[in-house]
Amino acid sequence: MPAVHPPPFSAACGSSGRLLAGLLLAALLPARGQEAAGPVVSLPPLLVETKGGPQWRYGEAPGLRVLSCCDDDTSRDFAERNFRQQEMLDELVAADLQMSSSAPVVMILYDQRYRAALASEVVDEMNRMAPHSDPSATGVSGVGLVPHLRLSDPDSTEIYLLLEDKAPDLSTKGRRLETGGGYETLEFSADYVAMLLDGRTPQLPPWFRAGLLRLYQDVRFDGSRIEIEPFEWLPPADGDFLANTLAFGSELLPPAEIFSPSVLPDGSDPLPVRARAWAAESALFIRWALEGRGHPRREALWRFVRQASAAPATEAMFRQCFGLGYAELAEQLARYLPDARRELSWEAPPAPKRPWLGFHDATPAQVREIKGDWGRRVLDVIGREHPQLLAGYVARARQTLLDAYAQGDRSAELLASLGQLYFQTGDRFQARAYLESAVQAGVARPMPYVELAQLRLINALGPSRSRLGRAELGATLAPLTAARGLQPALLPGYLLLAAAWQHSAARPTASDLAALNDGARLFHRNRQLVLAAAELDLEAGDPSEARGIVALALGSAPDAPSRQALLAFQAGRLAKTGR
Amino acid sequence: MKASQLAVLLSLGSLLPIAALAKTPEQSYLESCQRSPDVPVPVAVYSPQVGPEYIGDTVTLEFNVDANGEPYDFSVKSSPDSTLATSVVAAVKRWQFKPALREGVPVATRVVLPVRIIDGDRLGARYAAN
Repeated sequence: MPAVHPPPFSAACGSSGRLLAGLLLAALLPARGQEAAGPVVSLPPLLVETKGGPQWRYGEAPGLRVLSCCDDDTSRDFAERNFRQQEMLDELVAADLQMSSSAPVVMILYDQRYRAALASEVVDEMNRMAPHSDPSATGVSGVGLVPHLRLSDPDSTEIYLLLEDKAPDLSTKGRRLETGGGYETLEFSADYVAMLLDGRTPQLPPWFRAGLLRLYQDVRFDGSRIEIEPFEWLPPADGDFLANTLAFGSELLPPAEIFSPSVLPDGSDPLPVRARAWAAESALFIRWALEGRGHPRREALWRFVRQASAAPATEAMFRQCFGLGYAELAEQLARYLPDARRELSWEAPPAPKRPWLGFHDATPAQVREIKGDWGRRVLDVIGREHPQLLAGYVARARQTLLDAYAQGDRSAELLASLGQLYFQTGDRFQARAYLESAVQAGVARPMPYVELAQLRLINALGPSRSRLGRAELGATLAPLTAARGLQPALLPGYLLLAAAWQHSAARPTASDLAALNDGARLFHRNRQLVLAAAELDLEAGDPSEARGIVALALGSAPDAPSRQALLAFQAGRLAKTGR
Repeated sequence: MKASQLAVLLSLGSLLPIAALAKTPEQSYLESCQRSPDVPVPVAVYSPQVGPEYIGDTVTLEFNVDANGEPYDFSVKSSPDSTLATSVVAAVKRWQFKPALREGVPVATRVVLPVRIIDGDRLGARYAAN
């Protein structure tokens, strides 16, 4: 029998003769000659980090941090366009009527050339959010969306964008984005504008949100020019329905119905045509008020929206802002309707001189802090769309952030990201440790303060205790007080504030109640907070404050259950207290 | 000491050991492997040098670990190309294992190893030199 040597590469032992030979030789040859017996064992995957991958560059400007692997010109141009688009949006919505955040927006700009390096599930999600070549994504032919994934916490936003790594041709600036190509103009998506409106506190009146988003569908940006396409009223069938069935007697809804709608703004109205008419007329009113730069009605509109955010809209309030009553407004809108069927446009003021946005090589800490925090934020998406991958994503985000920590980074942002990651994944002990440190370091986002307060409250209440002692109450309230000094105001913070007082034997002072009532006014569409604050007001003997916030909430109740709950409170608890 | 203060001190104390977590990818990998006696356990691993064009790719190897803990008899089950496969096999051939035991005796074992190429952020020598 010829000598049998183990094959240099894998080959199946196909014949019994070779197997027998192998068994016989096993006793004679050194261990290397043994055939492996038993099942194949799986080793954990080895992750190999590439050498010479994308070089990350970092730059920051007020309100913006950029981590980019595109060339500096592309990054700078993109940041500049982002600033400019914000200025253009301010022409449509006064800046103070948009979400304000103490933390800068973070953008990760990724060169399309490295697209293959992105996890397929992230690219899938980008395509789902922003199908690049699908005009239906924007509703505008020839306008696409830059592939991106925007991950917003209640207090901050991080956006991952895929860019063509080339400086745009300035000679074509102002033209529309060619489908499937690079970008030439940058416009905020309606979804992003909605986020800016929804994050504003006090919450905007529903008619303004609905009307502005309806109007934004018709807005185009051409260089510094803002163009609003001819107003499209409802389809004829909708108009007939309104005139005949609801007997409004005209094409337009009465102004009182716009500003204090009986329609349900959340889309659950039993008569969708009525909701469409309400949104369309709100858009018509905003368009009438905007009417070009410098028009006095623009400032009146901003004043009215500010006031209607803080108290139910009334005709007196409207008259104080516009110098008109509702009847005169109805006449003016009816007269304006034919004019609205032509394009409205005006020139935005020139871009202000901005400091040069410089970029430098990102430090390892900057890369890991930003990418690790992005890894934390993406967990919600992965958990929803790819739950089988969630554990791996959690591990990677944690390792990325811990690597930065191990390299000596003790920035408040990193500590907060670590705390929030552990908070999200249910590790309360580690979460609290990092959140305590982040708060001590003065992190500029309010959410870590709120999460720390929540952990302190949970810890203080424990499984068996239902009341907070004075010291425990103080420990819970302290981070909430600090959070109120940051933007944006957070609903969970105020809900926690109400919960802390509800679990305390101590009675809130006037200033404590004022903080809670402020929260109820900021978030008057949240009935849970409004009713909790009103209840504490009543217990403190202040029914007028309770009446005020319930009335404000009733004027903008987003859905039928909210409206019913508020009416029940009004008819029950509030009625019993008398005047 | 009040409970809340105590909790804060404990929490801060818990942060201190984390500074020792700086590990090479190879060290992290060694720690991730199970220590069961019936499977071979890597005790020395080497990563291949891979360029960024392979980010996102995976090479799957199958090989034997003999009774001395030496890898041999490599088979490439999947790879985007032979260049990457060659580089990965060359690195893994240098690995050393604690062999699997059966009734206390070292035995050869067939193993499968996925190697995934990820974006290393270029955090290596460039910054070490800074």
